[in-house]
Amino acid sequence: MAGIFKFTKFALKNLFTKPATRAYPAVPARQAPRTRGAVQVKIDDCIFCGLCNRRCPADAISVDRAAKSWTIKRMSCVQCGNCVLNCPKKCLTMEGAYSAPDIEKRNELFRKAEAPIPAVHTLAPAPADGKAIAPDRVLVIDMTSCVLCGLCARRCPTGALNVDRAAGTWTVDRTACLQCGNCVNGCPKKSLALVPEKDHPTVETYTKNAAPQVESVQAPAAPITAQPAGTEGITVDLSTCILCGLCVRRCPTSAIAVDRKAGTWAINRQSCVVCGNCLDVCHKHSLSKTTEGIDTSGVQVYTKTAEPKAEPAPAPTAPEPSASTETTAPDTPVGNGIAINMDTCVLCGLCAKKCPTAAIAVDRAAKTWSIKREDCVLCGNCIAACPKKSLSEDEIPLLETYTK
Amino acid sequence: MKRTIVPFGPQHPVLPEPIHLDLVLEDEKVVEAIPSFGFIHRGMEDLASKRDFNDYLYVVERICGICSYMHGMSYCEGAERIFGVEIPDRAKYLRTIWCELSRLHSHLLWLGLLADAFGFEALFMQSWRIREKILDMVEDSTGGRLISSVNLIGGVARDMDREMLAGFVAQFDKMESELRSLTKVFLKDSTVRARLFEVGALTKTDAILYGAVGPMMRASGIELDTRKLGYAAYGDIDFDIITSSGCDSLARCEVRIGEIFQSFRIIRQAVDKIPDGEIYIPVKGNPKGEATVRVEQPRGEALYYMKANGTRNLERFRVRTPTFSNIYSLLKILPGAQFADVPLLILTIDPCISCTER
Repeated sequence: MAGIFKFTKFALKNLFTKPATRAYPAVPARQAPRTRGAVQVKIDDCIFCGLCNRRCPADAISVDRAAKSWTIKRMSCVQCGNCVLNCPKKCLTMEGAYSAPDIEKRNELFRKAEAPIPAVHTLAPAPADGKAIAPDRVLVIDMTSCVLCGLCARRCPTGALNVDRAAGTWTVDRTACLQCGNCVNGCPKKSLALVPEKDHPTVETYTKNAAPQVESVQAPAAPITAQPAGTEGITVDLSTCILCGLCVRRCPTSAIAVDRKAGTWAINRQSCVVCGNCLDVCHKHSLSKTTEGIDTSGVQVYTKTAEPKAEPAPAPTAPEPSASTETTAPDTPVGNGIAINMDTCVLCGLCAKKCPTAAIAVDRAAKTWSIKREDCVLCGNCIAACPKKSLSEDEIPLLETYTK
Repeated sequence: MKRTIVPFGPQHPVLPEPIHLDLVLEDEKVVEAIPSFGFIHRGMEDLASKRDFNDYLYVVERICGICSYMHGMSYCEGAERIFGVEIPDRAKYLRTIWCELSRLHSHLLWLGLLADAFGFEALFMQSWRIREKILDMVEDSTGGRLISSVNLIGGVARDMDREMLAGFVAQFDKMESELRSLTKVFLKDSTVRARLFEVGALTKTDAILYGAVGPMMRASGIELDTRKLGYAAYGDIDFDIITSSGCDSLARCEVRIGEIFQSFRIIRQAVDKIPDGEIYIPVKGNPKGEATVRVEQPRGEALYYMKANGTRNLERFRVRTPTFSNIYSLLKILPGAQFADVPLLILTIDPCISCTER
């Protein structure tokens, strides 16, 4: 009966050992430094962007931007930490204890303390003590340099900006504006600024022709008319352009069209706002801003082999754009291509994703990287995107597939 | 002989999850078991087409509490395959360590429940005492006792430093010696043997025929383990597939205990081999494509199918959980068993109804 003895011995030993459990709640529960307890918010840092609200898988958080309040349903929260991970201001944390037990389902509401609003239309009080909190800034625009491209409106997370190109107006709704600065960073013309001024109307419209209606402006600003014909425009140097089409993708007004088969690069001068966004993205530095040979009347087409011609108003006597006169043979020299170092390549596929002509294919299962040489336009976008720096432009044998 | 139908479940003390069986009895002997399911169907697969696939990760983790880590990891593996990214090596090793920690606590939970099912409370408590230490390790490293929320598409959210890993491994020796004394009781004690030995036999042929998975299958002598496919860092790690030719409940107990010791071995190796480096690479955008992932959960092989259509929602997400596969084997072993053995037999497949009904 040795078998039974094991049973009994074990049971007896168990009887005389100390309990392994804690006498909760008399003894507090164990907590690790990483324990995801209850979600806490530093409400003063919160900008009420609502990302936590959107990312919460349990719909436990609600954010009211108008009331500047942040509410959490403690019973709905599943403590996943997704809000903490996605908070752009890092004002959410999940450290410390779990929320205390309760007998009813409570919502916890946090409200941002309203900063004392300085009286409008009075002289700004001088900051007497250095500790005074910097007053809220307002978003202002310099309409002399604004080209009404609309990038700011696209980047605005709250839809506070409205750009009307037809009317030539730029409007900001200051109640919706969070002063996040995303538009300021994205402006290709650096026309936007956040300034610590106060007496601005909540909804302000700036017009391209007139000075902004701010009462502080004293001298009437010189009226800025729309760009007169033949002043400034984007032109392309087709000797270096490879027609990759990245400029098309970046154009905020869809003014550019690239046809690789026909070998043409066309620009609609009516829509082009000369924001310069395409200049930044061009890997070949083929684009430039010029005042020569710009026909603002319509679409101007540059062809790889022929001279550029203005389409709607055929004006053969129009001055030729200096850049396109020295167009060369379209073919890149045979043997120049994208080379890959398979020792460092991790087959992540970013190059394939970034290729504007879908020339690259990455097969992780077969561990291959392949390129269609006839589609590759050597734009170099893949080289820039490669996280492992495995790609380079080199003279290469015309291989199609590389295997790891 | 007169037949009686006895309803078993959906609420039954042996397991907290709702499974319902209509047991057809002749005297005390089960002749047929008719299952019915769907008491806790939550429509989680359908939810995948309504939630942002990045946020759905946290829903996948909540398919089941005990299998939570593996669900989350498999979902991320699938998404990473669709994105075509390879996560950093350190993240793979961290995932492996967490996988094995979750296998440890799941198997220890099962041992406790088994002891509880045959009425040995002291053994139940001691199994769970060891399990509690594993859960503390999970909490120390991830921030949650069961639901870790530590996986991300592209890696893991938290790192474990050298001291933390060494601290875990330092506790293993004591745990192993405690476990050895438990093993003696589970496998050698004659009263325990009387409840488990030759109860609920599933032959090797039947195991293949009824598609058994996991420890259930390995206890019937089939040497198969999805970990050998080499997902996460399993490809670099040496471990044995524990099998038994007993085919009965005792063999299932033996296999799971063997796997616990293998898990300690895997974690020790992973801690030795873990490379330094990044733990997360950011992935952006909405992918297009499909992926199938097979992983070895503590309860057996699970299969995940994901189809992304280039939007922020998945087009289709499907999980086949190990319990789903093992239900057929359960229905095979029940006829012929004594009525008093039914709770124990249901337990030997390690059922997770919450996973099965999603």
